[in-house]
Amino acid sequence: MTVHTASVPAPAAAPVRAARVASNETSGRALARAVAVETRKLVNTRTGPVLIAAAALLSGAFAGGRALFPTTGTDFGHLASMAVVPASMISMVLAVLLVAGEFSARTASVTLTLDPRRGRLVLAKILTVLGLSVVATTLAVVAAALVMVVAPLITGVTLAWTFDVASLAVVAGNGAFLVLAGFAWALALRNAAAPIAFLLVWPTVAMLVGSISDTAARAMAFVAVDPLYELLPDAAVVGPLAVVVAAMVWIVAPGTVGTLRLLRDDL
Amino acid sequence: MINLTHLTKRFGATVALDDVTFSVAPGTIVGFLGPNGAGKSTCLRSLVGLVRPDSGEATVNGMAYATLADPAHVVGALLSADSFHPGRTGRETLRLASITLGLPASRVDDALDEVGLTAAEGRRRVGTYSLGMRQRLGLAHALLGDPAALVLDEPANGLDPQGQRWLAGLLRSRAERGCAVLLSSHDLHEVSRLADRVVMVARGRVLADEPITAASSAELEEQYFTLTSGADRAA
Repeated sequence: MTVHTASVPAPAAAPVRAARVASNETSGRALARAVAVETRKLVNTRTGPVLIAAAALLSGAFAGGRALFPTTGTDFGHLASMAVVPASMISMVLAVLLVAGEFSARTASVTLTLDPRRGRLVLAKILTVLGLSVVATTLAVVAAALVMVVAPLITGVTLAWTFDVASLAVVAGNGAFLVLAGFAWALALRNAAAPIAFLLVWPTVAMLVGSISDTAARAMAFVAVDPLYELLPDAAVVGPLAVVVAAMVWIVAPGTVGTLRLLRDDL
Repeated sequence: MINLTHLTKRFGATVALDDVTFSVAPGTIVGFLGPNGAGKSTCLRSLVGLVRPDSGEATVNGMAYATLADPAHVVGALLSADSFHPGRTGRETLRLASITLGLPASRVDDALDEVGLTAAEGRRRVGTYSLGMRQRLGLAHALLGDPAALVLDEPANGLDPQGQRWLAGLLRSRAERGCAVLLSSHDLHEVSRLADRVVMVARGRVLADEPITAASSAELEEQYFTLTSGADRAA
C-alpha cells in the first residue's frame, strides 16, 4: 500500500436491491407501523405493565372511595370522573417515558436509523399517547361501572346510573390534555423526572397560589393543567380563553421546541 | 452503492469531517480505520441520517438515506451496541424493528439464529447481556431487513475469538452475496484479513483510500501508525 491523498473511486455499479423513493402510500403504511411500534413500547418493559396495573388499582380505589362514602346526588358520572383522574396521571407518566426513554436509554439513534423520518416519529408518538389516553379513560369508566355493581353489596346503597355528558367529557379531555402536556415537555426537555414531577405538583401549586386572591385564581386558571373545566359554565373562572392559553403554555410551546430540536439536532 | 462525497461537518470549533470522500462498491468490504475522534462514527452517522453534514453528501444507491422508501431494507446499521433499551428482551428489540420493516415475527427468530443467540437468550432482557451478546443483537438488528449494504461501527468489540471468527465469516459471506460492507474498526489485523479496501481517517480527513491486495497485517499497522501519528484525540 502506498500513502496518498484520498482517491475517489468511480461510483459503484448497480445495487443488489433497487432503492425506492418514499411515496404517500408507503408513508401511510410506515406511519401505521410506527404507531404499532410506539404502542408496543408502552408495555414491553417492566415499567409499563406495572404502571398500567397501578392505574387500574387506583381507578378502582378512587371510584370505590366515592361509592363507599356517597353524598347526596352521587351517581355513576361522579364515580367515573374520580376513576379517570389517576388513569390520566399514569397515562401522562407513560407518555413522558415513551418520549424521554428514547434519549435516556439512547434508543433514539436505533429508532431513527430504522425510520429516519423524524417528523413521522413525532406524529406516531402523538397518536400513540392520544390512543393511550382514550383507552385509559375508557377502562377507568369500565372500572367505575364495576364499582357501581359491587359497591351496593357492601354499602347497601344503590347509586343512580346517570351521568352528565359534558362533565365526563371535560374530565376525559383534561386527561388527554395532561398526556399531551407530558409528551410535549418530555420532548422539549428529553428528560422524564422533571416533566412528571412538575405536572404532578403543579395543580397543588396552582391551587395554593389561586387561594391568595381572586386575581391570583384568575391568573392560575390560564396555566392550569386541567383547563377544560373552563368550558363548564358552573366551574369556569375566566372562560374558554384559558384553554387556549394553557394549551399554548403546556403543549404547543414545549411541543414546538421539542419537535424543532428533534428535527434539527444531530444524534 | 455507498458514496460519501466531500462530506464536511463541524461541531463548534471542532472539525469532525473535512471533505471526506470515498465509496463502497457492492460485494466489497471496506475497512474504515482511524484513531479515536478521527470522525469515523460521525461519518457513519451521517450516512444513515443521524448527523447532518454541513456540506457534501452521503448517499446509498445515489439517494440520501432519509429519502429511501425502506432505508433499513437497503442499509443495515450497527452504530452502538449500547443503543438498545436495557429493559426490553433481545427478541422484543428485534420484534420492534421487524414491525417497522414490515417483516413477519418469524424473521426475528431467523435473525437471532443467524447471529448465534439462542431462543432462551432472546427472551432475556438486554440489560443482562454481555457486550458480546449486545454486539450479536446489534448485528441481528442490522441483518433483519436482509440489506444490500451493512454499516458497522466496531462490531467485533467485545466478541471472543470464536465470535470474531464467526463475524469474519458472516461478513465475507454477505459480501460474496453482493452486499457492500463498511466496517469501522480498531482491529488492524481483522481489517487486513477481511477487507478488500481500507480507508484511513484522522482529524476528520481521509489519509488513505487503497485496495488491500497482499498487504500483511504488519504492513497495514506500519502504514496506520505512520499516517495517524499524533492524530489521536478523545472520542
